[in-house]
Amino acid sequence: MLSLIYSVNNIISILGKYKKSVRLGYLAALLESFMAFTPYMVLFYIVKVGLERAYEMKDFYLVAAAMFLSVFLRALFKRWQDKLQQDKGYYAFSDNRLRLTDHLAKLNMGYYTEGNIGNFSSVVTTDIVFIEEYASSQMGIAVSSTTNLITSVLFLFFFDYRLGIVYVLLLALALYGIDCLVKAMKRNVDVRQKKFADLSSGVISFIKGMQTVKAFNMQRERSTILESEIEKTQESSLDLVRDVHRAILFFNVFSALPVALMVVFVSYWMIQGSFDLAYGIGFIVSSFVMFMPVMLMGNAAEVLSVSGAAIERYKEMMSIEEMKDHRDTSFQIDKMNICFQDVSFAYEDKEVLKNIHLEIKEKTFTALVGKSGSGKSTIANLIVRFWDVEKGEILIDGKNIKEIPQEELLSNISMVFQNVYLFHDTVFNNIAFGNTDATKEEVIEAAKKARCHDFIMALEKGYDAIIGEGGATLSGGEKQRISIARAILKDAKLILLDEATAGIDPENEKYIQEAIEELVKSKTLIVIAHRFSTIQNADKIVFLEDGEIVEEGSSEELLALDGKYKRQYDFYRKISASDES
Amino acid sequence: MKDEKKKESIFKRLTPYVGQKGYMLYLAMALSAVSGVMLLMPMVFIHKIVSSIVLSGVVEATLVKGNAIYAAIFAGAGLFLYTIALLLSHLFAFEVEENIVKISVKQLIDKPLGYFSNRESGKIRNIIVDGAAQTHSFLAHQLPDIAMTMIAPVVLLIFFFVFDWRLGLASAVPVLLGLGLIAGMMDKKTKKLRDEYFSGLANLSAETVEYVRGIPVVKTFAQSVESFERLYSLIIDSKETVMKMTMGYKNKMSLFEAASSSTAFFLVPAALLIIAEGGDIRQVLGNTVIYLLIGPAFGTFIMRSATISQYTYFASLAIDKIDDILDYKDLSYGQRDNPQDGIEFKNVSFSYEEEQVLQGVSFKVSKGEIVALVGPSGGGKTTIARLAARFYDVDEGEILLGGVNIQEYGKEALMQRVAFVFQNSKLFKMSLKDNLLIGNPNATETDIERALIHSGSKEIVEPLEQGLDTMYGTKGTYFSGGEAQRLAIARAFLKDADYIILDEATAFADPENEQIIQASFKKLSHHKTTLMIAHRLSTVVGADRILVVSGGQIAEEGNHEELLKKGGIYKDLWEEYQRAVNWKLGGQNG
Repeated sequence: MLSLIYSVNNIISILGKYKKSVRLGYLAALLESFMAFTPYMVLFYIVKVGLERAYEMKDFYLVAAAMFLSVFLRALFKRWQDKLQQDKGYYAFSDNRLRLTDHLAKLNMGYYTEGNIGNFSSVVTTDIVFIEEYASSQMGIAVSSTTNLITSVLFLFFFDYRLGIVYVLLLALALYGIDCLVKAMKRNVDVRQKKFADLSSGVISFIKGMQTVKAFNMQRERSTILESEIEKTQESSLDLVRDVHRAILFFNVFSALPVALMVVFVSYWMIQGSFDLAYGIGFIVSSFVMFMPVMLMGNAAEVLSVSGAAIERYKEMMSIEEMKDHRDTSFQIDKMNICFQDVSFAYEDKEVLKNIHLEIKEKTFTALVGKSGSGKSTIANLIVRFWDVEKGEILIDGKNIKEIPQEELLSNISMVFQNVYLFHDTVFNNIAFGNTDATKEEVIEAAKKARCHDFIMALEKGYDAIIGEGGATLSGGEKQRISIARAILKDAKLILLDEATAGIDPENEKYIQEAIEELVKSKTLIVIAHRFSTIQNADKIVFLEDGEIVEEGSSEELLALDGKYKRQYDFYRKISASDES
Repeated sequence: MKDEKKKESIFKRLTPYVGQKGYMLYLAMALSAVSGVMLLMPMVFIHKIVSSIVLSGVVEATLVKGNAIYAAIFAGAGLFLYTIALLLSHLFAFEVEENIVKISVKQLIDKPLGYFSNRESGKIRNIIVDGAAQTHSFLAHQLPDIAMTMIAPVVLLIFFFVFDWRLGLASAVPVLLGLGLIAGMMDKKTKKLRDEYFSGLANLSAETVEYVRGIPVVKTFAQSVESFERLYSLIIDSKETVMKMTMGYKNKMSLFEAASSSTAFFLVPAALLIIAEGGDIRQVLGNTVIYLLIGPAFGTFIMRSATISQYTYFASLAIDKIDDILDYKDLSYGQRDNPQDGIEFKNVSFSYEEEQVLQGVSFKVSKGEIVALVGPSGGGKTTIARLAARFYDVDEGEILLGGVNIQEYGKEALMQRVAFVFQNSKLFKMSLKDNLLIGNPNATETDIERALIHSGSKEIVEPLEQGLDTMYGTKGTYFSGGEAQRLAIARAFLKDADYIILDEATAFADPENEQIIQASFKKLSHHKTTLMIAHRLSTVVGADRILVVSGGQIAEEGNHEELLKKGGIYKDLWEEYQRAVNWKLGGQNG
């Protein structure tokens, strides 16, 4: 019972402004239960009259009126309860969806990793739909069942206190049965989810490895391994099935036993003569109905325990801290002078940047160089506030970026990274996304500059072609150029560029490079560099190693220094030389 | 053919997955049917008690006791059997779930590689694993209920007319009303609304995923989230649909619930009428009481059959999806082994679905020759390599391996003779040594050592504490893409095949890895018949011959110097490549 109350409260806790109406629904449910009992009251009356005297016409009218009223009112109250609880539940979940989507938009962008995006999607789709579809209707059943039980208790005490006491005791037993069931269900849900995850990852790694499997003709070995993995995960299910069914049997017995015991008690009292015959018969019959809600609650408990897990995931996601945004300050970025002051940053306990001091003057070209893991991407990520720094501060035009409104910050920065996301929308809209006020001419102009225009015109529907599923498929390089067109249209003061972008599709390299040249004209430019030749014109090259800046200066200066940069440079020259041989 | 299959009953469709535990299914259903009857029996005994009291006006201790005990025994035994039925159905469901995954996976293994290159692994997994889970919940929970829901109304119907047919008819009225309402609930308008609601939900999910993926872009362009008008309007729309649905459907639902539990409403007046017509008061009373129990029970079963049909529908939908994704023509293989001599394409044409990719391609790679494929992306060079590895079969023309059609070779022979290293080489979750031994299970320590050196993998393995015994994929032992590729090449060295097909795909590797990988490719293809796709033109300079593939055809052919002299596509490509490699960013304003 406690676990059921907990589950119901858990649902109510996410209903927002509809909480009140859901609570009012309790009253409707209670009234409905009263009405559900009316026919039995009438039954008592008929039996009593029938045993005492002959029926008269007025009995008929009375009974008919009572019956009609009870059925009519019951339907009415039921509808009222549904309106208050189930319908409002739908509205509340609609609100929750909106709240969740708003919330997601306010998180640090660093949360948007591939893995997290998968989690977010599954909560927003699977979990919320499950809660919406099942939780509110099952909540209704749980509430009705509870009020039915309460009514039964009142009803019985009103007639005979002994019956009331016996019923309450038996009820306690039945409710204990539900608790056992719910607990077993909860164990079940957790174990099953884990098993499911294991199975999924087993199958996916099998599919992903298929090319290698076939190349080395090891189909038999791999499928045997996977099969034994499948069997292993399923083996634990036997224990699980046994565990749950013990609870089910327990629950079934505990919810049915009381019916039999009620019959026994009432009969005993009737034999003793201490119980009116008419009522005795009435009670024997209604004892079936009085324990019916327990069965219903048992069924509801199963669904509620699954939706409980879904609600937990939803709440967990809502509890991720939103990024603080100073929307009210009217600060405007004028020049785009960037300054890192003693910045340290750790990602999940791993220190990525240590005491970074770095100055980037407006309209200069800065290149970040270093091995993967040296922290060069992190510097770019911190400027756009993918994450907030823990120690030190990052200033733009002398203002801490945490105090600059996010919209102001981001509208002045364009990022051209390797992973391009294009919307399932027209080519035109995907480019216009950079600046929604842009005219058609401006969009086409940007597309021309980004060397997109020709391949777009080659598409069947040109700028109106839909990108993605069921539409035009673009190569990696073409997508990249569309994203550059977007950035050109945006015309931001700072460009963050991952140079690997240029090499995404070697045949398209030339076009992408031309597009990038268009983009970076008279901008502040920060490049995460991979190839040394690309950045020879940089005003400043920042050489990173293990999260620290080890060398800094123009290419000539660094070469003169004859340090780590020089060594890397020579190595690269060697490769290029072999390229051209 | 396929559509016919979809019309078959869910049980028939599950047959291939049932395995040896089919008896459990029948046992579970039989037990649940028996338990359904047993659970209704207490009503009969209660009826006996009640009518005896009503008829005689006194309580007979022995009669009450006897009947109460019977009622309890039947109820207890019924519940026990039902639990056993559930237990069996769960066990059976697990078995079927396991078999669905196993059998589907087995079928996957026989799919040609082309199957995997245009299907997302995540999607395949979802359909198979989720589908199996969906079938599981249908079998575990709904199956025992099906038997019970079929048998119980029959027993109840008998009850209706056994005790007093007039009262039986009266208590049948709410049942009929309920049926009528259910039928009314499924009228066209409500059905349309329900469909609308569910398709709305599906759209909503799709749009939300797009939203979640798009948020980073939205933010970088400093657009407000409201730019996702579609998502917002979908959320609002679905709210409105629900509102309409609740008005149309839920009102009737409350009526149904009220009606199906309103037995007394019809029964009591009927009883009074019968009495008024001169029926035996006490007998009528006794029977009335029992009908009060039977009536509502009927309603519950009607309700249940509605949910069951819904779940059955979901389960068969899941099986449909699995069948659909596994529906792909398998390749057939011949018996030949041990090919000699080179690779030859004879007038080969090929198209992916509708799109023609290759048109009448002919070329030959002689034994021991290294031939490189270059050209713009989408030109068809990757397809040529895939056809040579028999990912797909050609539409027209033929591919000869050692002078014999590639389709005539046995699967094993083909895979043993041909090594291919493509992008995204996969290392398995086992020791590095075992990962390498995949290439050749009989390789000696010295073989492995040599392969490591040739592939430039030695310095990857050396710093590891446990060296080659390190388990790949355990904490901290993931490698970068370039490193994984080097180990995959080591594997290819161990395999020592006669034919080598390479996809250079070093675009993502950093300069150091790139250098090492290129060097090891050179060693790997030494004295082997090699077909390689080159993305970076630097790699092809040393090739014996270069094929420039463009627009699905071979546009030019020759070695590096010859092609440069020719002054055609290759020369342009080469110049562009030189420019790209030496690109200096910010030349104009820097």
